[in-house]
Amino acid sequence: MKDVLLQVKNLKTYFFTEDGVVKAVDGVNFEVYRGETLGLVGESGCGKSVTSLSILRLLDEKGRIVDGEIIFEGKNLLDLSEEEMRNIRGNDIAMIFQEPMVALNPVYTVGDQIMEAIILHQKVGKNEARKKAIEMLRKVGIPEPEKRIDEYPHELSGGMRQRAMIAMALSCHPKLLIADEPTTALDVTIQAQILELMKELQKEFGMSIIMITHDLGVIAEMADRVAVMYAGKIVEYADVKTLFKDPKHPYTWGLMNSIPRLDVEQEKLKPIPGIVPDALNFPPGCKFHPRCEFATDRCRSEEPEIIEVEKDHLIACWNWEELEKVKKIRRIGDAV
Amino acid sequence: MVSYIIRRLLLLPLILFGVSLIIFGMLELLGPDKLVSVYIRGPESEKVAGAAERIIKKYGLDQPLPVKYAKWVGNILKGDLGWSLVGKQPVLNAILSRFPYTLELALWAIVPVVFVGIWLGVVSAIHHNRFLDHFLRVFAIVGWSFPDFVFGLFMILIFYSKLGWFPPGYLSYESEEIVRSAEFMKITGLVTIDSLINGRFDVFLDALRHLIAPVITLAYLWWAYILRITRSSMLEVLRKEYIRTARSKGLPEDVVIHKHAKRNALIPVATVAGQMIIALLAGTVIIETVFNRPGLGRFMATAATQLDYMSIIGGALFYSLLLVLGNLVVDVSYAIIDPRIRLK
Repeated sequence: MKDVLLQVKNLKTYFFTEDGVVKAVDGVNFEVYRGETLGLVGESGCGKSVTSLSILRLLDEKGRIVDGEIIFEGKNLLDLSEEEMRNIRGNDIAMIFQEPMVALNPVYTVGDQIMEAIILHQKVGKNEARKKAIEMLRKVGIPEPEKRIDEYPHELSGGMRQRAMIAMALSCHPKLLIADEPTTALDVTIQAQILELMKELQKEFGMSIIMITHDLGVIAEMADRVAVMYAGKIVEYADVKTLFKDPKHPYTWGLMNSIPRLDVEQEKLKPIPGIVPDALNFPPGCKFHPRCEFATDRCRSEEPEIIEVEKDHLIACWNWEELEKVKKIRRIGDAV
Repeated sequence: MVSYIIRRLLLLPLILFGVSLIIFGMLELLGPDKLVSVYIRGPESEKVAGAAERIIKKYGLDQPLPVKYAKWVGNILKGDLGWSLVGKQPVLNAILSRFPYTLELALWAIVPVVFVGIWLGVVSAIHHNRFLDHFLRVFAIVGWSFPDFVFGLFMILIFYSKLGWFPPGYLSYESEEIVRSAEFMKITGLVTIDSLINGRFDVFLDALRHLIAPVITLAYLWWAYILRITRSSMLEVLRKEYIRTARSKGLPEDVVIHKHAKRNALIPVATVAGQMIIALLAGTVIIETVFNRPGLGRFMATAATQLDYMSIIGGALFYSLLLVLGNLVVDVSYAIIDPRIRLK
């Protein structure tokens, strides 16, 4: 039996704006096992970042978690006081962000920003913290860490900055790392290096990772299991091999058709038609139906719940059985 | 950092040269005849036969422009800014004897005006759109909307006429006697500092009593400006991703705000604060008039109404020097706050 580190149950995070209520996350369930990587995929605005911010309770003033539980090592994070929550942030659960350029404070040195968390959580002195910070910088592959520690973020390249971010996040050896599009802003070659580094460090520290991305390539590289999100809900949830071999939800198909492949003849990439619906004005029924070529009357009126259709393979679609036939004809899947 | 300051300092003479050209041009607008008559308004001793010729020779008024400019600059560098009609003394002395009163008020006002203003802005931003924020903004904008002489007169009416707490002027009659006496050492020219050096605590308290009302008036009238700049800058910074990073590390909110947000938010505030400090040093005409302080602002206002050209030109030079040096200080403070600027 695998050991559950984090369990998110029926999470609902709404934003109360002047224009109305935005249901950014609307009933999301998933769990993260110790030592594994869970991928959270979806287009921009599907609620994946809001999910991760909800876990750390770092939503801005308009966002509120209206329902659900976030159980981390047996404790519901939503029941903790702000002070108890601060002890978890950076210490048990750390986070890295998309743009290392803007995620590091420009007016403090890299070392200062790394040492801050170490001093706070590990209750050590400045000198000890500095040693640990240099050690972390070396671990993430920054050359001459003794020199680099006193540099400011703008003196580092994009890749180095993201490495510094990772060093900062891992400085207190968290049990869970939430990586929100950690490679999106980087060059492709640097992307691969950063992913490789994260995998190495995951093995070394034995931590779990929630990998948030819109890039299925990153998922294939990193994740053990995947949750595909669309418009605030998880529409497909399976382990990574199953998902690539046997995707069942038409949205997942769409995502896969939009990545170029060398092994199959493709005339051109097929993007998913339409755009992500406006969160203030979701369509009735299944939120994907306006963009789904298989939509039926039922899809337009009733919203499907996510159900387990095969062992450990969950999807939210009324027509999944019919779609199995279509899949054979169109040769969807088998991508791994 | 050092090279940044040196580069800034190297620019100084260039800027001062430009400023001097403009002021010299203003003087030239008077035309040669008028100029002689302006220069000749000197002390009585110069009003003898041949005085005009001497002045024409001294200032090179019959020479071509470049020579005239060189002579003018040469005289300024020697400290000769001409004769002040209003002050009935050389312009340089007139300015230097009034500046301490302005400087004293400025120094005492900087902390309440600038630093309290910044603090109020931060408080306002933290309580964004809640009661305290609304209250502070309304409170400050009311101050900003008051004409300074009206508010100043209110202060005098309430705190002097009614309560008798804060009299106008800069010292009481008794203290002024002590300050004027021979044994009172005048080292800085600032009464509050000199009195402490002389061990006259009573004089110090008396000077302070005279400073409170103008300082409160300045602070209240100027807070709105610095509060709003600080507040909007803070609000912008608080939305930045590095603030989220800081929170995600588990830092307590006051560290997030006072360490991570404030320093970034202060970059635009430094400009405004610098301008305010320069304005304080240049003297505030109305505050000095209302509270009867013999400062620079008041002197310049009188000089302007009396068409005292030499004092006006001298004052303009003095202000430009203040402005250029003040901007230098602002530039250096930028570099201290923001490491990215040091490299440029």
